[in-house]
Amino acid sequence: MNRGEGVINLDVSELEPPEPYGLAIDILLEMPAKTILNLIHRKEPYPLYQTASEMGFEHKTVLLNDGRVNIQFWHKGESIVLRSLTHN
Amino acid sequence: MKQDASLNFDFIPYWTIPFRFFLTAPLFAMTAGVFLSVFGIQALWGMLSEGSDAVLWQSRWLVDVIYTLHLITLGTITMIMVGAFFQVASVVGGRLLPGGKAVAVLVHSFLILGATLFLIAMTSGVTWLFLLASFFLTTSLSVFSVCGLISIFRAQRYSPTLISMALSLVSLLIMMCAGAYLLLMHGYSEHLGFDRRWTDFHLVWALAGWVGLLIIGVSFQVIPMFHVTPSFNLSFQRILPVVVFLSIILVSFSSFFYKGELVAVIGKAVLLACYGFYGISVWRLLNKRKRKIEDITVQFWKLAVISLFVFVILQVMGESGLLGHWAEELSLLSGILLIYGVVLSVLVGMLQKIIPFLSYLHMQRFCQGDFERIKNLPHMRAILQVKHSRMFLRLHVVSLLLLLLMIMVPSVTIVSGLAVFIQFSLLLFIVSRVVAMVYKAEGV
Repeated sequence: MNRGEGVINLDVSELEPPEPYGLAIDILLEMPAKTILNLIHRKEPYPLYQTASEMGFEHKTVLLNDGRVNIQFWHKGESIVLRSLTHN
Repeated sequence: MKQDASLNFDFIPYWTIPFRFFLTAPLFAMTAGVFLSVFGIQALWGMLSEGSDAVLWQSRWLVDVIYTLHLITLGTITMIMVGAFFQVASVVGGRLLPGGKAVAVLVHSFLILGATLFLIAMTSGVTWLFLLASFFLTTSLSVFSVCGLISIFRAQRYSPTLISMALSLVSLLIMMCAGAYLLLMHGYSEHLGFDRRWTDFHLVWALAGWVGLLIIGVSFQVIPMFHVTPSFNLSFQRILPVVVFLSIILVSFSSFFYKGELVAVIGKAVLLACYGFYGISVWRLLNKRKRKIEDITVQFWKLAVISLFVFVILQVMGESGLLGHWAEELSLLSGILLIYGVVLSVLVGMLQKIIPFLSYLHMQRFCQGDFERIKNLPHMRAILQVKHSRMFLRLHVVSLLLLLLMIMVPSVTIVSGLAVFIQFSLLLFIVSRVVAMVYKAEGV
């Protein structure tokens, strides 16, 4: 895991299920406002989407060239973060 | 984007549905272990009291061999596979099996009754018990197959896994009809006679069809998922189950009508080649794991592939006549290699992944939005402890080697039975511990 300015990078693409889910939930539980969790995963984590949504997070998913997926989570309603994210 | 469209975790059967099968399965293998030890003691007693040689394991046609084998194949293998099917079909196809818990209870209870009555009928020889065993087994497996096929036909999407699972269920129905007929021939031989050709017909549909095709289909999903490997080649996934199924048709009918002739040999060679090629693919994929950490399930898979290759070599030697004087031993050794070395290795190995994964999934759902509880859920390695899995693997290898040795040295039978009993007692403990954990989590 790599914590940058307002961005937490987490690559779970080499972990077997349900480890990625547990790790992501641990981070989301303590993630401060105006921060993005930048997750690299082998596949789309549908159960995580559901839990994250119930926890008050929005997400955006991008398919990477190598077949993995990049998912970014942020607190609902943080449009500033969302704008900066979509502009990157 | 449909990267992960092959799995749908919105459709998960209630946790007791698969776990009731997983919890019952070890009991039948433990019973088989007890019977083996009793055979060993009886043979030893005969040797000591009468000075006769041990007369165990002289033929695969002996009643003792048949019911001990079916304690494992019906009571343990089929029990685990049916439980896993309820789970996998729902997640892969996005549709639960129709009938829900009621069907699961019926299939489970009738399978227990059928397998138990099979044993009692074979040991007592009471004719009507054969009919009763046949009724419970065919009802259980027919209801299960039909519900399984309905869920596959209603699936949200098709995948090679579902095709393979559907062909596996068709094989199960064919195997079951032949098996029921064999059971009735055992009970009512004076009316029906006994045609041994049905045994090989039943056997090939059971092992290569029902068991093999389900393992193939499920492995397309679980090997890349749990072992973080690349996927099986897509063309391979599409072609293999169909070729295996067609080969089984060829083998079963040619062996029935043209045993020993070229067409039967070709059919068998194609079927063995399919499974040999599948074994190589599994081995190569497992060697491409991204994280080369200790993984007990991988070791089970590799043991299964090694057993498969030894089985194939024995079959080739048998067909070529190199082991002419050892024909009976060869068929018994082949049976042990295939059932204990290949099939059971894969199934109990997969359980080491499926059980903690399912438990975590269900315990996470019990939290119902209480995220602090989710955070405190036990990790996979705490749900099923590695030291237990490691011990279980060692016991499995010891049991397999002793069972193989038992055919050549019958006096080892007592110890073989004991090893099987201990191995599956540990599995019962492992599953019970997890069930208690999930039950407690649900009640909190």
